[in-house]
Amino acid sequence: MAFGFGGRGYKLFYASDIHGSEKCFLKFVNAGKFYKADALVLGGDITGKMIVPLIHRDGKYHARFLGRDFVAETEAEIAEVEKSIRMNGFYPAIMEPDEHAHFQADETARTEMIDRLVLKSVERWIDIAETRLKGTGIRCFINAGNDDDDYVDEALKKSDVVENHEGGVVDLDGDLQMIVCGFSNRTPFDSPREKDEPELEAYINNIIPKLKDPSNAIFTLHVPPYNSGLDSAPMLKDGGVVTKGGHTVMAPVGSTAVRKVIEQAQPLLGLHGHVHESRATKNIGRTLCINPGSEYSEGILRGALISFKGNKIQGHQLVQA
Amino acid sequence: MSVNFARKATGLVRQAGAKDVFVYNVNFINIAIGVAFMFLFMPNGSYPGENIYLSTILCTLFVLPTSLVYAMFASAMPRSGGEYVYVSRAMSPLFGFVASWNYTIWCFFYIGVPAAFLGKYGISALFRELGVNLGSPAMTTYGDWFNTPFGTAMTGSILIIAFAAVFIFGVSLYMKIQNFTFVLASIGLAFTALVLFHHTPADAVTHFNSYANQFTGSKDTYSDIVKNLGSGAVTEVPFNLKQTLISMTWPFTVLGFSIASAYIGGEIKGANRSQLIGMPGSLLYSAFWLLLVSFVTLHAFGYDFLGNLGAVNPTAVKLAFTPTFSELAAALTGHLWLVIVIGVSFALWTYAWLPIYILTATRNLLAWALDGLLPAKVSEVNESTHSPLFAILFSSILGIGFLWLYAYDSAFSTISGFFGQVCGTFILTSIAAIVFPYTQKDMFEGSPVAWRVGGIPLLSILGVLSLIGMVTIAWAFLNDPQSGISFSAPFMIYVNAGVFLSGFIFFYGAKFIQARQGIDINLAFMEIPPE
Repeated sequence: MAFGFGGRGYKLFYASDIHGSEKCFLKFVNAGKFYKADALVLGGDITGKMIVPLIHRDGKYHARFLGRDFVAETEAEIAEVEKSIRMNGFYPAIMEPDEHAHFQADETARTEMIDRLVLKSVERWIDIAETRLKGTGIRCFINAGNDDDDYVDEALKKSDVVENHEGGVVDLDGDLQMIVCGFSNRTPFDSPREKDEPELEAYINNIIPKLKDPSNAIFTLHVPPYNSGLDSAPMLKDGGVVTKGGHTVMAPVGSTAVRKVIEQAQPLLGLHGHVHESRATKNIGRTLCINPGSEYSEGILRGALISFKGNKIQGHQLVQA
Repeated sequence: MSVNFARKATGLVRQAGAKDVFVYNVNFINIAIGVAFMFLFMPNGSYPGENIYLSTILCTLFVLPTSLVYAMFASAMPRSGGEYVYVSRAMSPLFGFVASWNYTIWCFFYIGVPAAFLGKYGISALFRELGVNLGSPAMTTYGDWFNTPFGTAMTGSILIIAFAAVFIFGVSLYMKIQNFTFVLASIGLAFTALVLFHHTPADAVTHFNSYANQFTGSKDTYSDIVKNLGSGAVTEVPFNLKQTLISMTWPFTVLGFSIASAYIGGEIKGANRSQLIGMPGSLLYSAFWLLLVSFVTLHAFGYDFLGNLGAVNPTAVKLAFTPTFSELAAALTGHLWLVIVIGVSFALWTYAWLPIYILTATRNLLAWALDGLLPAKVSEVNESTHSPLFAILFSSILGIGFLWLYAYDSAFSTISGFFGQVCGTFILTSIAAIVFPYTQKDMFEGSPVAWRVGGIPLLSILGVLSLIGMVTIAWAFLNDPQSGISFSAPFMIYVNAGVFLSGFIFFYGAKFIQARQGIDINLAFMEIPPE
């Protein structure tokens, strides 16, 4: 018994790594009603990676993304292009040619502009979540991931509907609790929220004592445990990906710290993301670890439905919505 | 020029480029086996009036739209899984699964078949070539053993077990082996073509007789062949378009499969360009090589000789088994090193499908397991080797089973399985291409292949052309007296239909079992409305 059938317990929908895709975010917010879930958890890497300028030239607005050129003239056309940019995980920005040139030349100005647009988008998403979820009884947990800057945390904490429990513990249902950590171990990309393994281990181990019972807890840790099958990513060498015979050489890139804390604390469930192509589930001891993977660039929300009864996992299912 | 601005964040997840896609697909297409099949089966009188070159060119034109459909789908949905992803999203998860199921079941079969080719066509010929050149009748006899059902099945079983072990230790090891053997096999094929180019029927037949004399004991084996055939001896007859179209089944056995990279679509960097270049590019490149090697083979031996050699029962003239174009090339040279290069390189080509079918089948099993259509155990990845142990073993055991079936049951020693892949998978994918721009309008419009011709999506147009191409190929299979599948001998039609229809039964069975445990499989694929 679980999910849509009788005698249901507590049901949670988890997704991660939507990287600015508004389509995925809208699906995430709607997932509560769709799956009849009690709680929604978005486990980090919510912000996108690129600004797409709409450059005003000859009375028209020109943009290029996904390998195609877009030209908009009317307000409706501009709105349509902006929507398409957002749906694909990018941020639209209308600008004059001289502004565009300025941002190209000046890294500081460019960074400020990017941060401003990303923050504005996060605030917009929070508004959407508040509008759609207020009064529904569905709780919405969102935390930042290694690709999200610190200001994302601040924005999330201002909401009275969206809950961000980074570095802390939250009570869910009965004795079921959840801890949250959006940091990752070091990556070759020097992303905004990374820690060395010992530091990451200490960070998580500082949270665990706040739990009533670690064995009845969910560990929402953005980075998956090392060598778990949830963390297979392309091997990198000299800044490039190693391929052999048209095939990518994969290697485990998860966190040894996360693996260690899971092996020691043996929580009920580990919810992870970070490695988009490593959609998988794995039992580490008694702990069920899940990485639903990510296909944000196609507007597909990959996620996991998990139902609980008492202090047990009743069932789990990977979905692609 | 508009320049977009990137944030500092974790980077690309896609890696293989156009060149990688090209190599992967060319390896899977398997040029040498294609030429071997063409000369073993096309000129033997079964298709009076056929033209080998035109058949190859027409086949290329008929499969090109399918190759482009897969390439455009891979561009629009750069994910691993091939038609499982494309058809699921364009039509429904049920049809996506059935298309994938059908392809995967035939994958298991074609893990076994190329394993059989190693003994049947590769090692047997290599031993005979060495036996003749070293003056060792014993080696020739060993070669004959590899061509027997037992020898074929045993050799193939060892090969599958060896590849299973390689995959268990990781794809990386396989790729090292593949890169090395692919280069060696390609160089060997070039040498083979060069040897053939330097001969004409005037001297080639003499060389063949001298070569065959070592094991047939006859000074003029070719005359024995012609005498044995009697009135059935092959002579060139005027061109016949229908027979040329029917004989496309043979080049199709290799050219129909320029799509291997669709199954690793999630790993392709710049999927739009890479797949659009890599898939049709590998098809056109391979077609060129098929034509080139066909030309030099015909140039060396002539149509009548190759036809009679293909038509005769080899044991009736003490040949034990019919030489392929590769062995004929080896017969033309007296240089032992060249004989070794030709023989070894051809042996390396014979099984090239095998590992890629293991990879494809394993990946499909993993995807089904993650979607709840197979037990979760199937998707488990071994921590020591980082490989899906259970899925590899399962695929390999089934492959060995099909190998023995192929070796001992003549009904399966045919190319009729390709018919199933055409009808159950490629035709479904063609239909999916037609409807995709309409059923997934947003995804199509947002994709880099949202091209239109006269207002109609190019993908839909190619879908129609692909459908026409695949129906034509299916028609050729049903009319080909050597394909092993026809309405007059319908056993393999039933087998093909059974494989396809069992996909529906399996899907609903899995759905029923999961529902009893509270899991609604439909949820795995249902799209949440974003608005």
